[in-house]
Amino acid sequence: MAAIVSLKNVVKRYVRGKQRVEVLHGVDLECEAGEFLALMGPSGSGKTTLLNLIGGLDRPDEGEVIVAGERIDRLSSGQLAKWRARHVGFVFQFYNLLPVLTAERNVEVPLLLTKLSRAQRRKNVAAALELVGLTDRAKHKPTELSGGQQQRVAIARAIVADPTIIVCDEPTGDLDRENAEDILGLLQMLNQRQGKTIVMVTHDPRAAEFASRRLYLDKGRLVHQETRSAA
Amino acid sequence: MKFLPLIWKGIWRKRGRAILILLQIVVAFTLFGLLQGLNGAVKQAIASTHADRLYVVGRSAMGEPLPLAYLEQIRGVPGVRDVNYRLQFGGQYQRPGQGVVIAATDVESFFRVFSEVSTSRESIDALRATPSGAIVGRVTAEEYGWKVGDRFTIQTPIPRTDGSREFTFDIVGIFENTDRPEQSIGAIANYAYINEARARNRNTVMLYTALIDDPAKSAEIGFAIDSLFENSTNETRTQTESQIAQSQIDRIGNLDYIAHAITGAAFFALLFATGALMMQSIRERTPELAVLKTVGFTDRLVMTLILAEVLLLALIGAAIGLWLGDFMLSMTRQMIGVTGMPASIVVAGFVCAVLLALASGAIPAWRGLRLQVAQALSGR
Ligand SMILES: Nc1ncnc2c1ncn2[C@@H]1O[C@H](COP(=O)(O)OP(=O)(O)O)[C@@H](O)[C@H]1O
Ligand SMILES: [Mg+2]
Repeated sequence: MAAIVSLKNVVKRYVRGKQRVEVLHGVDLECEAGEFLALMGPSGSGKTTLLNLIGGLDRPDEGEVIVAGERIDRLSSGQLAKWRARHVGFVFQFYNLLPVLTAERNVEVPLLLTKLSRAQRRKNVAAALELVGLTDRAKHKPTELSGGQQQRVAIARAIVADPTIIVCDEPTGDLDRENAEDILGLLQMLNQRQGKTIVMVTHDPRAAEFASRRLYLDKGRLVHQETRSAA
Repeated sequence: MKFLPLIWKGIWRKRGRAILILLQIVVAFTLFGLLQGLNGAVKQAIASTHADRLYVVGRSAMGEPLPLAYLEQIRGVPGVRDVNYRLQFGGQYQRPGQGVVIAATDVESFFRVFSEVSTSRESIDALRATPSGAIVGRVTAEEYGWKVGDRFTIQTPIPRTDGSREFTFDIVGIFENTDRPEQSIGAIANYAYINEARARNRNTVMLYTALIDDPAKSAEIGFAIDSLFENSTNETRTQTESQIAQSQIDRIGNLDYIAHAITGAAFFALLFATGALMMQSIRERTPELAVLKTVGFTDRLVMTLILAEVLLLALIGAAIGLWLGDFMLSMTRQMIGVTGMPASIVVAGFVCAVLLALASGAIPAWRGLRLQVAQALSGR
């Protein structure tokens, strides 16, 4: 299968005070269509930084980032925004829903950037909410939902525009065991039944078990990788 | 348009704050509408005065009697087309508070000089034929239920030779002020009827009104009239209608200056108050704006949404404020005779609202534009 994500010799530095700190030291990474990739590693190892580069939220200082067939490290910030709207769905640790909007309106937000009609948007929102099993909570505000439910809304928002790739940063980091397994099961289902390509950052080995492949990041370098044994 | 719900929800994210911002804007625009409306209406009133009319009154005091004999002399001044003389006084009809202003005058020249006071030819003829006749203003007639053929008696400040102060009039017609219909008040009567009955000041008038050929020469003609009576016992002062209106307004102070100073200060304060509250609102919503950008909203779209939010608030506030200002203006209308908020003030108000929104939204919008997604998401 073709690589959907391809990073070559990626270097990322941050300016901290007067110093420039290198956080990623020449990372090479490939992820193929239909994969469910887990990025693991200790806190501060650069997982979020790497994921932001894959999702087009940030640009590297050196190296190439090719995602969904595009050299996204060369795009301007405006082009990058449009690229993200077309190709990436995001899921975060703290759900990051808009508190003033109901669940269905939150899910609708990415579709506001498309040319879809109102009716078409409503239809896609309903389908996404159904897929995550939250049809009956469509009219609720985030504060009226549990953490697990909020994360389901966030996943619905991530998939509603049918992106090429879904990136998740510690999606279960704020959830208890049971809810975490629910969410991970949902992601696994999206990967296996809907064929969604997923890159998930986690430091939890049990969460990583749900992925089809695991990569380990340590101090800004990929150390070793391990493919899922037949389950 | 599909972003409108997003903008609207953004505004009402904190209800208390939104109401506070809205209230500030409403108050500032009420003030703006009221003061500028008043100013504009007064200016309009001055502009709509009749520039071809000169008023000749006593120099030492308005209302000081002038000899009737001045009539021919004023008529002889070059540039004067027509002259009317008048004695004007207030009377009381039946009980206190029921006032009637009587203009006792030469009827024919009155209707020539005051062309905006309109009545029928029959009424004018009837008034000339009836010494005790009166043509009553439509508003006054409606107020007291008077009709043509009715007779009314009023108490006046003018003593008669028999010692009483009562005058009785027979209504022979109704007049309408076509310039300002609400000013169709009082009654027009024959000068001779009052003059012959009164005990004092016979053959004097309160003012002359001269109609002139060319308003551009009003100063010259006025000077010529006043020169005629210089060093006499009754010196005169001649003014145009707009000069009189202006001098009355000058007595309230420099309205123009006050209006601009107060609204300017109010808008200046508003700029900072609204700007600060918007800033606070944007700072609070940093994670939410970051989410919008993450999902693919461009920097420019996020900036536009923020500006649209301020703009919407400002326009709603301005609309309510201007409406309130107009409402308050309409309450003072009877008192000072302004005719309502000129359309130009409403337009200027909305232009101010847009400018204000752009100015106070500029910094928040710029912050929204520059917001870095990755950093905002990590709380940096
Ligand atoms: N915007 C930033 N500015 C400066 N330093 C940063 C920034 N983002 C991350 N870092 C630093 O880079 C390193 C990697 O961070 P991160 O990618 O968030 O790690 P992880 O997600 O694995 O915990 C950390 O030392 C962190 O402090
Ligand atoms: Mg992280």
